[in-house]
Amino acid sequence: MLPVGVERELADIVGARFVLTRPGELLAYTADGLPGYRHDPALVVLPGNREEAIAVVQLLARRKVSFVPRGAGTGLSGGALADGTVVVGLNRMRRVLDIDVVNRWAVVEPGVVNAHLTRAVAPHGLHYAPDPSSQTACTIGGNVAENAGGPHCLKYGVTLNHVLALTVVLANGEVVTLGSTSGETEGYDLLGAFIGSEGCFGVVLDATVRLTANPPAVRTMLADFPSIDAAARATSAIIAAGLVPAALEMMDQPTIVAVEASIYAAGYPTDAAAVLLVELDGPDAGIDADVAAVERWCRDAGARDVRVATNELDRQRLWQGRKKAFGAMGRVSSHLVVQDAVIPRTRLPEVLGEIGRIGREEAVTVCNVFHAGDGNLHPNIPYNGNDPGEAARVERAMVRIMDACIAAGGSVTGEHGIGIDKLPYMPKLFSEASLAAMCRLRDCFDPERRLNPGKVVPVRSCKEWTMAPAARA
Amino acid sequence: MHAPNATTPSAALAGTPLARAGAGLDLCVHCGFCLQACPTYLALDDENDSPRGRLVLMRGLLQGDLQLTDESVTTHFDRCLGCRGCETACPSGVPYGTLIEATRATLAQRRPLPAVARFLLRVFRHPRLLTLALAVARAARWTGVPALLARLPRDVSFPFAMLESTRGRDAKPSYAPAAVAEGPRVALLTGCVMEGLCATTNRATERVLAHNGYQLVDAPGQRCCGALHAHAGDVPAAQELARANIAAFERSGADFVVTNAAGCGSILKEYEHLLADDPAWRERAKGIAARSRDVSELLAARGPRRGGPVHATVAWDAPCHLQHAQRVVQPPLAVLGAIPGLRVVPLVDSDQCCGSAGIYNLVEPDTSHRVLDTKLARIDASGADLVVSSNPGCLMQLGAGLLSGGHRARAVHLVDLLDASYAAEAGPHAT
Amino acid sequence: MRDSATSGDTVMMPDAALSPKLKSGGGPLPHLRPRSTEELAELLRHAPPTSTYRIVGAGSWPGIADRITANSLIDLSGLHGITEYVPGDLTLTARAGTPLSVIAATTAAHGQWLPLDPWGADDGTLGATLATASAGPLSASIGLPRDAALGITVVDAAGTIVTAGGRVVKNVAGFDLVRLHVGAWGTLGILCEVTVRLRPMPAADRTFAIALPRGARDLATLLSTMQRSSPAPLATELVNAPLAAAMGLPAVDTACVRWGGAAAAVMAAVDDLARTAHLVEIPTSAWAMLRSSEPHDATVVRYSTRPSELPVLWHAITHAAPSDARLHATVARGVVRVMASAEHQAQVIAATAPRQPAIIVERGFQLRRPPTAVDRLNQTIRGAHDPARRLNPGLMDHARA
Repeated sequence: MLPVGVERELADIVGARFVLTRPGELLAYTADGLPGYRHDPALVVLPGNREEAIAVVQLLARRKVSFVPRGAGTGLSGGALADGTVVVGLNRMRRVLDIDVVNRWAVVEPGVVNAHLTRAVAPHGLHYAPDPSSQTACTIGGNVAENAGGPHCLKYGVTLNHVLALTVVLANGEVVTLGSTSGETEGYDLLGAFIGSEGCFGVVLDATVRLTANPPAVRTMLADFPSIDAAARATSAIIAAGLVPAALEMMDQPTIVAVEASIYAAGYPTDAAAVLLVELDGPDAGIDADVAAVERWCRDAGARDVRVATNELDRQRLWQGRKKAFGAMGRVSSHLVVQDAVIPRTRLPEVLGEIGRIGREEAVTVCNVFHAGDGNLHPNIPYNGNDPGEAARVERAMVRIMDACIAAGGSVTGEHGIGIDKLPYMPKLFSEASLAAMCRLRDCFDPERRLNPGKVVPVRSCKEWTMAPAARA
Repeated sequence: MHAPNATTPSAALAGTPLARAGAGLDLCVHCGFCLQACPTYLALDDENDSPRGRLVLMRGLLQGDLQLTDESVTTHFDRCLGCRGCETACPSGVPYGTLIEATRATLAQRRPLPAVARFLLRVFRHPRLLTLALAVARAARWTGVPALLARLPRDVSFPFAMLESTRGRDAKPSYAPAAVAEGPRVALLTGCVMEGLCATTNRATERVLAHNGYQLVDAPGQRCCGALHAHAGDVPAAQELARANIAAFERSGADFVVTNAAGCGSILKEYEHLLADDPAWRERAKGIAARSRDVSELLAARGPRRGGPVHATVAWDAPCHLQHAQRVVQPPLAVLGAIPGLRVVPLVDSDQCCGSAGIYNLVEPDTSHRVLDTKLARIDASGADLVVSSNPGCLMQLGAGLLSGGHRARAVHLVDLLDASYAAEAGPHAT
Repeated sequence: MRDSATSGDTVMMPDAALSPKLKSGGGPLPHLRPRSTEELAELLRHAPPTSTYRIVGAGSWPGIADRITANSLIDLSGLHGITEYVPGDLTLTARAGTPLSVIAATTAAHGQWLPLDPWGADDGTLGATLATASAGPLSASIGLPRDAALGITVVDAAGTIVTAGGRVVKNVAGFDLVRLHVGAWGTLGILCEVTVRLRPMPAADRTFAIALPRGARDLATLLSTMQRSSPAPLATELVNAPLAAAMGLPAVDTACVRWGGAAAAVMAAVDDLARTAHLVEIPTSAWAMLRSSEPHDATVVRYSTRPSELPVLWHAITHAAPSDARLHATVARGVVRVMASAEHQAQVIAATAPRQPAIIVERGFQLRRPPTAVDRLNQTIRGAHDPARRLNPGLMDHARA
């Protein structure tokens, strides 16, 4: 229950049209990109600009109301769900405030869609490098909150490596600037700590992000393998050889079949056990030698065929198929689990073999579509959730897969975040003391724990830190 | 971690069109890729006015969590343009168009449509009323009064500006289409608005088709295509119109049914779906649907034949029902490519709706105008003199917006542009 | 534009005034040299509550010790050695006291490198490099030290062992304690073990010197041409004449440009630039000379601005600085680093004021300015992790009222 009058006061700030309270209108905000979890928010407020956003956060601070910042709701860990609290939607704040072509950075509001930023700077031969597969929908604010990745992060780095500064409003309503364009700051790396904090540390008002020059030459290759193991070995060989492709993605047969049945059909060979999508970019000089080397390593690992995209349209088609693969799995079955784990790249053949074994033992179909070059797996399982037996097997398979990744020295999320979906795995990765240290940092930003409560760190790990740090110091 | 529970209809909605279409909801994985493809989400900023939001509401209705009488729910269905831009963004293939029409049909069983909509749909259903209404409109246009009224504030002026925007160009120099004896036989769906207000475009369509080797045949007895009725949820009316048209086109003996109105073409191709529950008509509907083509498809199949130069900077604005519903993307570009002298400039978001959407701009003017304003700003930014489209609703919406907003660009039908090119080739003396 | 300008309220304070020398009579501090993470944790858990610690790696970082008011010393040189290196993963885990030179030698054998080049030299340790986040010339292209760190093990002031991140190259599990500790100077916990991302060594790695033109406009033209080369330079550093001389180069203001990559690509970039500038190839060892050319008695101040403004700032600083001061600038980040006496630094600060660069004093004195909201947040973090200020007391505390 919200304190009396909050709804009216919010309406005074943003206008009544942008405060939603009726059950029907809240329904759309009960889930993000991972609809297996549904939490009912008490209210949704949609500030239209910086001043409104600050006023909203300050009001919620005064009235001691918890809230969850939300971008486009494309997250895959349930991070943007609000359980009886307020959703602050930032999708209306979508202006590109400044583009500095010479110094190659842009200042954008949090609701700017990732792909729209690239579209805005394209006339200058620049782009925004992090390219999560949801880039046509997800927002820069959400990318900052999740420290989003994407295929091209293999060479260019994740969101952390591309955000120079942030203006944020903290839980207490105070507005601060973190980071600087030169990377020069005094004090702790609060910018680095904030990026990936899943909406628990504050609300982004604007982000200054690095822009990257479009490479002079780009070659996109599709290699087709008779087994997953062969594709995994080719990946390990390419990485170990010291070539850094712009992207190196793998899709297995069930994924290929789903994509080829969708409107994003890319011409992937449906009889291949796996394909690798490899992109090389850089100066014109030397790129064709690299293409030849990659082709050789793929063939040495057992590739049946390797082809290079012949033109830009062909290249985009190959990428569209990859980027829409997760959505395409919707047509396979009525239910879908989406996972995100990372393993050391040398362990790919072994762990993928293990995942295949688990799938067979539990009689579930695992669709692998992932950032092979980073060792960032996305084992997804489409299934019929109305069959309790199948649902239980899927659940078991998922836990076994995650455990296998942890055992291989990996992590339970490379880019989707912990949210609520991965909370159970946190104690498997970190000691109680380490989890408590995370809570300690959170309490410095938000001593009342009103921002995105219940996410990222299991609640019981925070129990021992009940007192506000300021009071303890 | 899991996709939403498969939708099990509650007893309240059993047997409704929505319950029958409900399985389509299960395809949605909630990825949100549709949000930025939805003009009403972009205009209104609320996820309830997005495809994903509306699918959630549909599921809420089906599962009994929400009621058909709840206006805070139904208003979001009313605000859907039906442009189906979300369908070509959806990786999992949610049949959104089918679902929104089923929702509207279900709603129509429980509550009356708005008065304006009821009136318009009624007019389009009755040939005599329609003929009369269009004659009145033409007469009004002839007086020049709408041109004056179009200058008033947009709230009042828009319908007049739409009417004014249909005024054809003055007598064009014509040309003699290359005569053919054995080309495919095509029958033109003349369309209500097209024939009533844009007859010059219909004549141009006949000329350019003939010039590309098609034989035109008549199809007497054809009526309104029924698209407006189907989109609004008045399925019985749409079915009645579809049967009349199927019969007329069968009688014509045409190899192809061709239309220059993307909205009409879309429903022609969906006649099979519309009459799926009617065993007597299902197969006949399938036959006509399979033979239906947009004019650009037929032209592109023949090249089309190149014309004379037209010097203009143009931008293609794809009608939703061509791009998203019919998935016809390349043929219009091929037609533009056949016109020497054209400078074709890109139009950002050319695949997004202009806010016309059948009678939407008359029943939901506020949202329609917000959507239109975005489109007009994009057109200005493109630097085009002419924005080219191929659907009467879009052309009237764009034309009226450009006219009343004092913009430089003008809206023109694709076929009229090609016709002008052929005329230019023939020279000023051709007749 | 986001650089916080120094305000008129800024006051220079000599270090000595802020942090008087130790009261322990000037003798050597009690010297603790743990051999493992567990031993360090044990030591801190059982330490007397009055103990405060200066944390030392190789002890090669000059000057900063004066600012730390501790009564004991923790020497991390006992925590040394590479604990895991899988060349195929391009990741390496090492104990904090491992010298960068050891890592360089080990990885070079596999054609890989850790492209961190802190000020000082390669005998500095991995732990110190990350704790100080010292960013050398390569940072402009390859990234800051924070970008190389994948996982850490730290021991906090209470003697608790905390791990964060991991050994994989992409990881968003939990709040980012890795970034919190990198650059924290050990004040939130002592770095004991670190996993870093390695890179393939470039096939060709060549460095060229270009004499700088006199005017700021000509300099701007040269720099923008260099930055737009393809591939972009690995490093572009301006050095003034005295520093060039100290590096064994001709004593003129010079740009040192380093390209790495496929031999053909590097050659193409060099040929391209050679059309507009006179390039002289110099040995790659020039970079090590640059990093170790810091006079131990100098104060060091960094000025930063937008990279496009750098030529103007560089000119303002070269004119204001004494003729023997050593200056260099990291072009792509817009940072100028000035080594001079404290008194000369004051002149430079005054001369550059109209350009409003952000100013960070590395050592020699401190700048006092009114605390900001960010300073308060920093203090909250410091207080939450080390309430009694036992770890490197005096550091990361300058804005404390």
